[in-house]
Amino acid sequence: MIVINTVVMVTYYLMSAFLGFLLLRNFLKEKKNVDEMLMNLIVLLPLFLRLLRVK
Amino acid sequence: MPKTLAWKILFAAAVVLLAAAAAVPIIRHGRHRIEVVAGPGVTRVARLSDFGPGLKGTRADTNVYVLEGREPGGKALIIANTHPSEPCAILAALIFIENTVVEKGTLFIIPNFNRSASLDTKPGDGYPLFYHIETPWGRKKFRYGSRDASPLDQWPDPDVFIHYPDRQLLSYIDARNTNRTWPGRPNGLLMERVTYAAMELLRGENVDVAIDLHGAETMFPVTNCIVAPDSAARLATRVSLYVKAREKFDSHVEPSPYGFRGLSHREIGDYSDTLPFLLEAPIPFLDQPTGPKTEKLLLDGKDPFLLKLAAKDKLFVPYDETGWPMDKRVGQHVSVMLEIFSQYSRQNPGRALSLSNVPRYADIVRNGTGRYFHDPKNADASRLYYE
Repeated sequence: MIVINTVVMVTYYLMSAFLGFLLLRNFLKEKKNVDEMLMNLIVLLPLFLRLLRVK
Repeated sequence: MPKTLAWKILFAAAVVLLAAAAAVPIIRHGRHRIEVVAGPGVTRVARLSDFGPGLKGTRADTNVYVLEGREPGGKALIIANTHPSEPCAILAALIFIENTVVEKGTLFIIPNFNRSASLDTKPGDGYPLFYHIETPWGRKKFRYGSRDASPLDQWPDPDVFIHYPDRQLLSYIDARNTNRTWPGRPNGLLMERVTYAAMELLRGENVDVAIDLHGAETMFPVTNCIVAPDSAARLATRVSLYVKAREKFDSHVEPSPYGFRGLSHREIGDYSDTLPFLLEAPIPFLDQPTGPKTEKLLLDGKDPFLLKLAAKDKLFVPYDETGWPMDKRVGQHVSVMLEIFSQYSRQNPGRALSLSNVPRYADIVRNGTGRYFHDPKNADASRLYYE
């Protein structure tokens, strides 16, 4: 059970990092749509805090 | 500068500011350490991982203060901060650590049992991050923790928590609740390892009495009471009668249910020879229908909505304009513990526990809890510990 928990937790951090990377890339690539830019950053926020192990 | 680049810089700056505004108070909360001045009775400070190596190097490992008397005698364990959102427990435990002199027997005290939960917060419930206790030398600052261990330390939660070893199905959140994971196991979830280490302490040291300190809502029936299994019920009843007669406060006895697993007052008795007691003091702050969850409400327990409910007889404790102040809750815990030790010693003279220099209910209500905390600035560095 502990092994499965650890695997899920590590996978979650990796997923957070991957999604964070995609969101940041989308933010940087976006040229026109201001709403899209903002949305990418807002969605990035909890993933960013999780990766830093703040909350 | 192109217009889109300007938007991007503006948004990025706004989001970084937003993240910092959210993160900085939480980081400061997690990094704050409560200073504890080891009193004259503390002979050594062990770690819980000394009894359960599975905790070593984790944020769940915590201090165990050992107060050994000059003469051998009985042994007792005080556990506080099983739920760090119930602060009367750690305050009562620190009064023992900073003041007690043990003449006979040994006292073990774990003031921060669910250390992981004490490092976490409940911002979603609007809880304050800190609370302060007035002392003769200034204000002592405490972290206000969460009920359950931090998901940063134990995650993911199961859909249903299956209690070990009884396999009773409990709420998923109870996997992180150190009052549902008793008796624990050495290779289980982190919180099961915490309770397992405490069980190993109880069994290995032949501890006679274990007291788990808590607080509960005024609208919850199991409040202002001593919860005990059959094996400890007679002693608990005697304690309840004595504090009522001598110290003029109520703390009735509630039986520990057979069918509800994972609780300290159930499993400690079933899996060791120790007599367990769980003490509950009323905490109006924890009730749902109150005003804002402020530090003031946490400390004085005064709330106009609870007052109206009291008038309609909806509370399980007497409640008036004086609220239910912290000093009263801490005083009750300290006096009930002293009475448990006294009654146990009377019944078991060969395993007696004799303590002195501990204030009782009336002293704490009159002088305030902070009166019994010592100034860390004037303490010898070798006697200073951090929680």
